[in-house]
Amino acid sequence: MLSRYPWLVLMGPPLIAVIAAGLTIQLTPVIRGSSATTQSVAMQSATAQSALGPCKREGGRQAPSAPAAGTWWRATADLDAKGGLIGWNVSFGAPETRDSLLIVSPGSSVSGPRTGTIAIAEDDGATSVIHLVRPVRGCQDRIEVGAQIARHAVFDPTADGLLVHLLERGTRRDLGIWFVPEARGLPSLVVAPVEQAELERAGVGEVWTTNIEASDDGLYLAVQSCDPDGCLTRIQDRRTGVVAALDGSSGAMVGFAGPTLVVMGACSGLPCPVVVWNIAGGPAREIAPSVLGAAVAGNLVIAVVAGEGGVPESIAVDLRSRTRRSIGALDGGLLPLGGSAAFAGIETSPDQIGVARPDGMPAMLDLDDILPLGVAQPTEGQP
Amino acid sequence: MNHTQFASSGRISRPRRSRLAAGFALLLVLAGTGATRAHGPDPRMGGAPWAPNQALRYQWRAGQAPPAWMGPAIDAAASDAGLSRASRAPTYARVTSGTASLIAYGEPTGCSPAGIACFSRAGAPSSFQMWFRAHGYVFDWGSLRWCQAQATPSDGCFDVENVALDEFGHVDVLGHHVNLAGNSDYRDAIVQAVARAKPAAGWQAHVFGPCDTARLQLEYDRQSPRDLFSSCLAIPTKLVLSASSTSLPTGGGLTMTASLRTTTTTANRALSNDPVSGRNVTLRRRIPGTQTWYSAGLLVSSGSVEGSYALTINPSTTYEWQAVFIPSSGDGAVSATSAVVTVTVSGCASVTCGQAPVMTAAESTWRTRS
Repeated sequence: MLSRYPWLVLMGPPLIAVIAAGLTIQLTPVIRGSSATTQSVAMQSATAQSALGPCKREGGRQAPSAPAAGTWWRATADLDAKGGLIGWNVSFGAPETRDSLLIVSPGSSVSGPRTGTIAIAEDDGATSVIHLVRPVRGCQDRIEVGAQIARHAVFDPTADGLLVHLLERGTRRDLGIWFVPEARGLPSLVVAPVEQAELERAGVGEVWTTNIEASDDGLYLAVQSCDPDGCLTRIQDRRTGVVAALDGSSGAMVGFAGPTLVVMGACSGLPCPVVVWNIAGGPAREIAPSVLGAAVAGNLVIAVVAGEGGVPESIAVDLRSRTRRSIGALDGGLLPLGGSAAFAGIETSPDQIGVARPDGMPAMLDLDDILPLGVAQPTEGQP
Repeated sequence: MNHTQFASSGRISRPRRSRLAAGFALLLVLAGTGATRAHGPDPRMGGAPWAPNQALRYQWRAGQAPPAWMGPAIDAAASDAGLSRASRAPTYARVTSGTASLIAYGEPTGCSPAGIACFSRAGAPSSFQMWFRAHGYVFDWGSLRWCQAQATPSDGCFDVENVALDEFGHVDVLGHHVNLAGNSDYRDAIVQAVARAKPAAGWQAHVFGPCDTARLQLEYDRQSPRDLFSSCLAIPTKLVLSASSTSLPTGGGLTMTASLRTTTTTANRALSNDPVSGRNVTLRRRIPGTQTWYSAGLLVSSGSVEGSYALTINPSTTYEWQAVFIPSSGDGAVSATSAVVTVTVSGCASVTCGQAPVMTAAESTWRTRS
């Protein structure tokens, strides 16, 4: 495995910790219909697994990736005997493939999948790498980031590469968002580090987490700098490179719906409203109160809300018509997987959303079966 | 800035508040917060309230039980919440079987990416959930350290009991306290956006602060009419004075009765029109046509009727009477003065008949605020 960015590399390639023995999870994570039930998960006895090998290249370039609905991952904490976090067990798989497990260091984060690939940014305290895991192809690549700390990486829809949030090692100073190509080439700065004055204007103290989210069409990149009280959200128009801060504070991002950014409110817990910003301007607008989880599918926001007496209900909000309708309850305590979900992800087709089961396993939910339910109501004027 | 420095220096000023109010009030409202002023009660979270004094039970979530070093601190915080609630807010107790709310350690959590602990009160009034990040979870500033996980707690660690009490406060109904610029009033509330790490002042606070209990009293009422209002409140009161008779002969007995209650207003929420007992309510008098008041004594709190105070006297002449309530230090009630009641004394039934009213020693020195 080559180090493609020697300017960044302090150390040789770190070890990839791949579990040699673990659980094989046979999962068919497709849920259909409002009364759908999750298909059984068979936990088979442990079988030895080997590390996924490097992916084959065509002319020095990565083979083109294609959408691979059903590709999934799930991260669970790897704790020592005293309860200290010593790593993350990232299990992943895809339909018709063997599931695998990768153990990564505590400072790791996972995103995707997109076109069948899962991005894992891992830092071992001395060097950072980005694992590009491709369950369908049964292989993985790695990009060595080296001396800087790669906190989070998401796929850039406009190019073969990733958008990576970097910190300076030692000081943990924000270095901004960088484009890191999958193939050879130098990283380039995409969004500069947030300025202290801007944080102070927004009332954000020390930054605890930085979230990044790219719109599917690649036109917009959102960068959130968050303290526990809320986030400053900056949006970059990728065509012009201009970065503008949204006015106000918010919680974690749910996703883009065209030029609309869907976020959770700045809440300290659940339930919490979902609000939307039109990037072109205008104030934030609430589309659903008392939300427990939400996901975006095209121009729809699917949310589970706390209903009367604490009973969860599901709604679909059409951002174009500004209407919403009840779609009943999602069976089995399913919760939509929003963009900032830290523990699971699943690639879906446009008429599906990802959901998390109560045990944390991701699954797909077909929207066709549930959307005919309910009568559309205007979102304006809702409590 | 590393986290220890941050924790020691506290939070930066929070200009977002004004900006939020001007340009993004929507989020605050939609987040379920109530009206808030500087150094006021904590905002109110959205969602259903619990029943007064509701006993909530919790247990560890299967597969995510807190480590041995964390569980007792969470239990201690549950006890702290009950002991320091100063209201009819819920109480908490852990059980090992049966139906109960769930508390979990480690991923998955329901926390926002920047939270070290979080909660869900979506199940209210039936249940709640609470989560704590694992020791060693990595944020942009570094790794989370819980003090209880360390043999010798290091600077920068977070106290589980303090953070858990914050979470129980959220479950009650409390939103993050809105601090004054510079956080000079940080210690007035446990429920804060950012818990203070060791050794910053308040990192080990284990009781609700006055601005926490203020909101709890507003939502759940006080336990007893004799309890003080939180000093973070300014609850208006109403004092009504009545006389057993407005006309009596000289030397006749007169019973003055005052009723002290909070005002009837939606702003007082659960405290609206509450009787207020056990306070010092003074009776004063003056000669009609004069401006100076003189004390006539302390009205005695009734043992049977809450908020009622009475004093029996034998007035020698006609007076105007008024009851005055001035709250003691630490009581979040607002002073009140009753309307003036005139009691006419006529006839001649004593040796003082026809003489000017006698001024007592107290009357000569005691003047009330008008």
